Amino acid sequence: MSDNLQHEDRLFELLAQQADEAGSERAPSRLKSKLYTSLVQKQQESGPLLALAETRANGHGLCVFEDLWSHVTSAEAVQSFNCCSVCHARVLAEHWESAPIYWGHCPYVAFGKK
Amino acid sequence: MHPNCTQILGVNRTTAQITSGLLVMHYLGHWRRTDTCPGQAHQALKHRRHPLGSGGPHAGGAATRYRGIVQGPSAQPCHTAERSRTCLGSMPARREGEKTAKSDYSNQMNQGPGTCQAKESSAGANQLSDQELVAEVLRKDRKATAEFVDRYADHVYGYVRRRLIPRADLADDLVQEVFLAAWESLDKFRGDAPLRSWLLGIARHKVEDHYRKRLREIQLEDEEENLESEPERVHDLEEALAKRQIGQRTQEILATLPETYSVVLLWRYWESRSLRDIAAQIGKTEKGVERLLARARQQFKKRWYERQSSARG
Repeated sequence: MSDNLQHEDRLFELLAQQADEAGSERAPSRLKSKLYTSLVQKQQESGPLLALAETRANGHGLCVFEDLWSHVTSAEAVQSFNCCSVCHARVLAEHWESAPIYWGHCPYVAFGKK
Repeated sequence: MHPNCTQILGVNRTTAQITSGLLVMHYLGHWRRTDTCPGQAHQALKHRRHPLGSGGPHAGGAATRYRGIVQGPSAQPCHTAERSRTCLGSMPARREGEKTAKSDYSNQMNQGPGTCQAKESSAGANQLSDQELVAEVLRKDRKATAEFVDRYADHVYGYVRRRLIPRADLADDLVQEVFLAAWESLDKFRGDAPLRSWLLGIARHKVEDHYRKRLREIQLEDEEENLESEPERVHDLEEALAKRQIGQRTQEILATLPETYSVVLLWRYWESRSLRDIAAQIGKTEKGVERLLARARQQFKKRWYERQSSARG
């Protein structure tokens, strides 16, 4: 490789390095919502989700629907039910950037926060 | 006691009304009036003797149960100056005896009624470690999964988007592939490297798969060709590098180049792959890749100078 080519090669290496340092982008909340939904769906394929009561015991807050649902019965099918799958907050968040959802402990709300 | 709290706990209300009112406020998580402080409502509930007395029909009933659920750091009344900001936030609370050390996400989501925002600044210190987070995700804890996404999606997305120029429209699908692949092999994460690097490693493989597909589709020419040389202009590029003014412009130029050129530049320089490596991966000759790369560099520089001149002009 000629000196000129080597120099150019080095120049582009530096360019790549600096351009990478400069970039920082946030993922759209819509994308985060879709990622979360598909991950939970994938988790469900290999068995039930962790029971809502255990999730709460781990120190995580439950949203209003999950909280109510978790008090229905302690049956595993109920406790591991993915309330988000039937929630309009999920639908809104997957299609709308920073969707107007406001209740606490909803993951889709957290994704929309800047 | 705050006047509104007194109003809330008015003697004319029945226990059921008070309890259901507080439950509704708790669940809705919204405090539209800045002077209605949930923290103070809690304090009020805590200290005020129930109108029916401790031996009343509801003693140990719903009100007590509710109090049991939502006690904790959230029961601090907030300061007036911060109330307007804080009390407009969500109100969910933490159970008694629950863990206090949680991640940013959990802390943010677990802000109790009346909790002053100053507490949020120290929340970062309580973040779950990578391995704790992975363990919780593997247990299929949905909230940990949400945190996993929230914590790392930005890094992965930023990386993938920069690497897919000019096909940034493919970034969403690729990021999704990265996270699903991560879930598939999450049990293999040993914590030797940060989770972020581990995820970016998966992302890198996905990006290179994309490059491979793109470059395999094209025909490369091995023959020598005369490329215009513009040695005097190299100086401009060096100058910009020295001034570190290149981030935005580089992204813009890469976005306007033909995809093949962007891909080969990104693969060679951003991913630091050798010509031999690229050639082997796409089943072409090293010479052919070198020619393609030279044309890509030339096009890049040409557009760089065009922008430079239009900016000066």
